[in-house]
Amino acid sequence: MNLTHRLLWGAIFALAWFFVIGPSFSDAIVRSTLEGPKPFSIGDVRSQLIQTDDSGEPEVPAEYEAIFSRLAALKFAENERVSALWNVVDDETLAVAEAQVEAVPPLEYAVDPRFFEPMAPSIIGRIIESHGFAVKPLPKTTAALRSPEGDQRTQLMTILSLIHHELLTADQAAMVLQGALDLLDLQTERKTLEDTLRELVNAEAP
Amino acid sequence: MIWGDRFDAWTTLWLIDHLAERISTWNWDPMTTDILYPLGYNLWSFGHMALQLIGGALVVIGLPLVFTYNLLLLTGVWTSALAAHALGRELTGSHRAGAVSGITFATTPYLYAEGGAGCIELVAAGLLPLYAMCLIRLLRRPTRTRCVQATLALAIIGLFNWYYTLFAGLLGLGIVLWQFIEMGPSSIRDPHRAVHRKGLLMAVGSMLIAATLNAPLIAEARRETPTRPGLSATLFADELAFEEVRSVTNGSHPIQLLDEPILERVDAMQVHFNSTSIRSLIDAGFEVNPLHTTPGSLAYLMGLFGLLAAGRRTWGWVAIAAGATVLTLGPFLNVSGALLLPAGSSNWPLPYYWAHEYLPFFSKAYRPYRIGIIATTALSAVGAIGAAAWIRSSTLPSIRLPLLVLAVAAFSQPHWSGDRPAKRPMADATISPIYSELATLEKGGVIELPLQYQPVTTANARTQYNQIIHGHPILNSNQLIRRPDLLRFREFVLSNSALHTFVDLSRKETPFEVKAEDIDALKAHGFRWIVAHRQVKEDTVSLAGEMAHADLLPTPAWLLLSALLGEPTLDNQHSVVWDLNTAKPTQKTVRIDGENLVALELMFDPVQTGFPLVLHPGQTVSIYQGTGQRFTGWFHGVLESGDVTLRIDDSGIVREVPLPLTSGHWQYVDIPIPGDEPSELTLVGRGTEPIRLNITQAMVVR
Repeated sequence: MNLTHRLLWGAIFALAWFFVIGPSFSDAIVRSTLEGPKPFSIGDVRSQLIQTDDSGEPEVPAEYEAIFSRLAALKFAENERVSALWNVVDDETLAVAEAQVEAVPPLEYAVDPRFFEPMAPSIIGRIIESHGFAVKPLPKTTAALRSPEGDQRTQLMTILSLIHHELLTADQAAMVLQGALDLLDLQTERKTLEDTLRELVNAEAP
Repeated sequence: MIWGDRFDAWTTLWLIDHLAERISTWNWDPMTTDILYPLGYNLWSFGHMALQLIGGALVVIGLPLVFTYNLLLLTGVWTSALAAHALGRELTGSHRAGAVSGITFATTPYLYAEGGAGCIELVAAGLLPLYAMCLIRLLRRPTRTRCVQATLALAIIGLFNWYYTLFAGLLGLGIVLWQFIEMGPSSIRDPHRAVHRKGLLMAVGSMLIAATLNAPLIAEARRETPTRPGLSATLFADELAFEEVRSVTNGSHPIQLLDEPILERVDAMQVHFNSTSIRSLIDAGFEVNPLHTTPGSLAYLMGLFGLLAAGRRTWGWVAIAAGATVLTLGPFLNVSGALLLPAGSSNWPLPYYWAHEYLPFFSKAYRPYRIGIIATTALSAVGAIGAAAWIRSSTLPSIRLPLLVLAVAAFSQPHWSGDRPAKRPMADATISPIYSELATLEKGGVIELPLQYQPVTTANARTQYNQIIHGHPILNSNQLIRRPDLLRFREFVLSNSALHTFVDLSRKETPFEVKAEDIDALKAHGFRWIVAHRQVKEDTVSLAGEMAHADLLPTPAWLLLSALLGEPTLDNQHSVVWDLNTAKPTQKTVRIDGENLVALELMFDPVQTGFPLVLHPGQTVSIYQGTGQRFTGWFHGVLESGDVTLRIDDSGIVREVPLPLTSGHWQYVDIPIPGDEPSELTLVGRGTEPIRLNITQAMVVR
């Protein structure tokens, strides 16, 4: 292979590295970093508690039971707020927003230890930026209160798309901001409770 | 204006000015009490003074300080390019090939990141290729003159920068080892190899002489880097240790809890924080944070080009580049650049670990990413050798056009690659007028509040720079990043309740308690002036993450200072200066317990949530309902247009007070609330445009 051929192959490799291989490696590393630890699961904690109970009785201590029931109530309340946010606009507008979700810029609060998850704080930050700080009560809803986790993420991303693509009126934006603030409060309480539960479980671990 | 705005920039400006003063007064005492007063600071602890001394000489002959700083920065890049060019020219005999080397070396992201951080002595990296050139010349034709040149080139680096002394030594050893291997141990007595043998002997001899010349300075070098703690395999994966170290480096760890073991853990962790990750090597772009820099895509591309074009002739340099790159990875492999290593990573120590633990003096290189400059030198040499092969080739076209394209692409990188450092705004080096006024006051030591033991913000880092204008000695110092000095400082401040309270006063919880007798003790130490600020320029640099709170004295701190020091001597609305000689503490022990304060905990705090408060004209946000005497808080206005007022609704009597904000600054606001009846406080957007605010430490004084 002569000099020209060697340089040609080198150029091909460099192009492949800079435009395909390098970026895909880098993205893969970022993705694996963002995956984070295994999500907290009440079911796991329950089964762990029952396994570590030597008495043979399947009952969970009262202090844990109180936390579990509050966590369940919080989860229910969060579902309600997400459903209420989802119902702020009509189906037609939602469809428009859903179709443009890909154009929503990356979330500001991804991997932020201050928050439980990045969606609610991102909604709050962006709606304040775009509409100013104005709040209006978001009525409670009974629709689709038990939507699965994956659906909730899609729903909140669609809300972000509504904001990003300026599909909300001033009144709707004020309701969305109030709903997102409510959601953040509930999540913050859940985060605190889950941290407490984790500490309790770790303290009891052998 | 200067290019570069991290704490090193302000320290360097201070050092240049301080050395200029030393030159003009012919004072060569290594101790100074201009900073860290009255304990004093040994100037050798900087570990690099020759470049700053040149700057000092330029200031003495009349060049302005800031101009001198920028000139040294630019000269650092130019001389780096010239030295690498000379190395390439020496290796190939061609100026065009030399240009490839110069372009590659002078456009490495590392130089721009260090320049942006204010480490101009690291930008002056040309000494490394210069030494490599001297060594190559010596090995090719060993003469006494060339031996002296190589010796001096290596010896002089120590005065400019201790890191580079070690790096030059490593590079030299690499070159000598490669030449030895190439000659072949079996032919060591071959009479045809006499020149090689002589060259190798003279090269080793020159290194030993240079080391001997530098030996008297080793004790001084140890000041800059005290004995390095061993690297613990588990430390870098320990979340609790990480949190502890982070709280020390951001200055929020209570100073009374600092001790030698904690500070050793901080020092050990620096090795991990300063290691290059696999991801950084893959991206290899221009970064604002020097810790993430590498030799850069272009340097590796030129290395590949040279290897393919010139083959075997480049192997030695390629091996040096590869070895140095592996050393930049630090003691344990970090794939993503995460601050906390996965537990498994520590099972497989990398070569750096063994070198750090067992090679004498190697632990001086406790910032592994900087070893990348050795790789850059070697890759530049490979590029030059490859370019020479191109020039010699009869099948390839002239190298002129590709060289021009390379130069344009390389030097334009800061405009488009990675964090695009060329787009970075210049830092305003203007010093606040309060310091000119302070300069006119009688002599006496100065304490700037809040007193931090780490340079966590730009405003805090600039206290040392401000000293050059007011001329009074200051207790504040950016140099407490070194363990022994920090422990001395700790002992000093813990001996006085006022100083202990002043440390991190901005983020400290009440109660505050200061004995009146300790104010007298401060006077006995020679302190006279206390400086505090009601307006602080916003910090976009994030020296230690989002640290806005570290600069901003909260209401209890102002109440304490008022009770302790009385009326200020200087007050220009933005800053105040108190005179300790006129201070009359109201009690024997002044105590602020904060019980009459209501913290409003608004959500528009850059540290707590990062949510801004955007108010369109007419929009309102209610912040308090109840009784109170004053409303206080720190406000940060972002937009030029728009206004915000505080509406005080006192049982139907409504008045609006405009908040006196300056765009781009944090402003302490203190507004009286009239009447004894419960009031409602509301922030109102006014003017014709939306206003964007951040608010922190908002309180009502009851």
